Amino acid sequence: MATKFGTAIAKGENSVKVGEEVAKNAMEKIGSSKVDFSIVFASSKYDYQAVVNGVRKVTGNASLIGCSTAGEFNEKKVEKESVACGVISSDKHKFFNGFGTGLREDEIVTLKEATAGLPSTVEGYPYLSAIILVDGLAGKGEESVLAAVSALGPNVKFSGGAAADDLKFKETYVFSNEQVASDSVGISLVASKIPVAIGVKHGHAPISPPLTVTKAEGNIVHEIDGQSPYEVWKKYARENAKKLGIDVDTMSEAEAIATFFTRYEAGLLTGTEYKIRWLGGTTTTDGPISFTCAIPEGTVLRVMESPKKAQIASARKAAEIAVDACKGVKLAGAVVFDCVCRAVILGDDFSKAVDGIKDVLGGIPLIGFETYGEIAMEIGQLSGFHNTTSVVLLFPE
Amino acid sequence: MAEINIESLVSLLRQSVGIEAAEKFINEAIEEVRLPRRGFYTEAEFRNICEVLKKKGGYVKIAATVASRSAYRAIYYQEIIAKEKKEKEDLARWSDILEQKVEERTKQLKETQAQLIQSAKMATIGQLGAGVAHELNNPIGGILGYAQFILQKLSKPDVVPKDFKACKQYIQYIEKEAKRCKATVESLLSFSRKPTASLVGLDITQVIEKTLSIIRHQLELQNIKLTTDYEPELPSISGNVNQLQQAFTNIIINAQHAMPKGGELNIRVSTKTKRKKKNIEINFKDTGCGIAKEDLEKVFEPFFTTKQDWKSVGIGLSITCQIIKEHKGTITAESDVGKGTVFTITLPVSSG
Repeated sequence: MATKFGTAIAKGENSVKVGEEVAKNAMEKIGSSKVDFSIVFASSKYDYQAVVNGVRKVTGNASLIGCSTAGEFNEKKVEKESVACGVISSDKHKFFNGFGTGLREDEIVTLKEATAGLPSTVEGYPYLSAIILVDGLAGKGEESVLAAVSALGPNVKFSGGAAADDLKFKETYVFSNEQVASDSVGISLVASKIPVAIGVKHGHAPISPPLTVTKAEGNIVHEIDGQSPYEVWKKYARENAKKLGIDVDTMSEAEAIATFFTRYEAGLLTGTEYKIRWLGGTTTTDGPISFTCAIPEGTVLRVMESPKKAQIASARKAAEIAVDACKGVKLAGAVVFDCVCRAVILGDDFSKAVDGIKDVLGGIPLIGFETYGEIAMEIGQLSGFHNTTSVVLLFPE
Repeated sequence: MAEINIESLVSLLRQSVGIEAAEKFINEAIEEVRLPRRGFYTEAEFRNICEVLKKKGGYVKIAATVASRSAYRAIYYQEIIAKEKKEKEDLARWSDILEQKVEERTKQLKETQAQLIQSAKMATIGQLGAGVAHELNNPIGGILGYAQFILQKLSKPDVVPKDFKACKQYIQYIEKEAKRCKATVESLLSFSRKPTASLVGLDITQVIEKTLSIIRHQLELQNIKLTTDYEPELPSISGNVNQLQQAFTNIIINAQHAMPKGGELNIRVSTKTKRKKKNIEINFKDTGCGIAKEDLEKVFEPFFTTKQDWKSVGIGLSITCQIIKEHKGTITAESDVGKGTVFTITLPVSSG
């Protein structure tokens, strides 16, 4: 037996039944009653615990990881207010789950808890990777990944995402096996005979000079170059925004401001590339701006633009990078972590980005969700949290 | 004692805080532990630097904690070396691509420039039209007249050998005039042709004469007296006939426009030696209206013109300047308002 990967998407009023239905449909695709691992992405419309119970009932309590979302998709469709499920049956990969809570208070303790029961090596399965899902509103995206690598050792690569709540910015949830909780981290250690592959890419470009964060606390930035961050952002985005029909000087609605900060995110120059930082949840013009992870004082940022064409192209590129990393191995399926910001920027064109990924992957099953942050960290890297980026995780057969 | 490369820590940290902040944080930490900035530090020194970084809290603290563990370092350093190698390769590849793009763009610009020069030349031909028509009309008139004489002679019922002799003479005249027409048309065609890129050894006076063959009549029509003074046995220069013809035509047409009520144009060619280098110097001296001092330095700028009518869009002299520069020569202008202008071109003598 190789690796079989099946996906399904379902909608409905009864969360347990939706969970059961989506798992059943996914299992039918692989033509097997044996499931080793399941992935569940559920809109905030659903009772998460009920969905998880429904899925586990059908999969025979197979290992499960999942989270709340801001949009769901598989190889067939891109949806809102739905539940997406992926199931894997494999003798090439083994899955081990962990779960930790209290992320806001102490990420080190949370990740220690989440990784405590995970093996450091698995005989016969030399390649280790981890899928990590974190509370998307805890502001601890980067910390969680680093705490995870600190706990699991340097030979593990990571992919994953930050849970979302359909842009309500109230509470996000992570699922691991039967557990469902906010302020938490779920982790699935994947031990493989053939390594999984990860591709990551964004489509942003800088439109400002380097700007230094002069006053910050955690993920809240109070001053940039000694000025109000909003004023600084307005200054550099004004002309570009005008072309998109956004008048930065008259914005007052919270939604318009949130959209503005989604279109004009921050970029950290990391070498020849930029890492994107989303000013997620910033909805006022007179106070500080908030990020989805910590921004230490002294950090140098650029205001980034996000042209639609580049956003669509970057999804395809992420898939190409992952495929290249597979070095010709036959693929079983893909998990895609794609930022909700991209969906906001692209609007109806978001499906084109998913189409680009599908096109590159040649029609293999895929499951994905719209995140509040993406995680991708190869071995040897020491930063794995991204925003407005596409992350593609490929499972070889 | 094993030493640790601080750049590896910079590389690790820059992934999460960016390249500028990573440098800044590490430099501050090194300063705080009172160490000089070096490439390598001992294990103990490195640990102290990491301890200072940890004070930043958040993920900088975690990153510094992880980076200071020897079990991680071995893996990270290998990866960093591999990553930096890849980045260097990427940069080299991008540099190649950039070079290629610059080359392509330069090629496109050159093509556009060549098109502009060609368009300007065709516009010049339009301006030369009246003169050329006259240049052709005179011999054609002669041809017609001689043809009519022949017809007359041979139409008589009593054609005698003397008539045949006269007809032969007329036919010789016709041949001569037809050759003159042919030469004019050939000059015009040769002038309008797109120039080739190659430079050849040439006699500059022949280029000037070729230019004058299509413009002389125009000057005569405008009552401009043309005189030439060529130094005997001039050395050859390396150049492109077609381009030089265009350069000279532009100057001569400019002189013509400066003398709407007639005047004099003198073209003088001589050799000059400057810093042990021998040049050909060509002076175009007219007795026209002259150019104001404030305009004189702008005359070689593209689209600068003092003419208020259709006659000029202001690219003739800039094209001339460009052609002369391509021939490694120089062009200058001196003028007295109301008295006239002298354009001086110098071209290096062929080394061969």
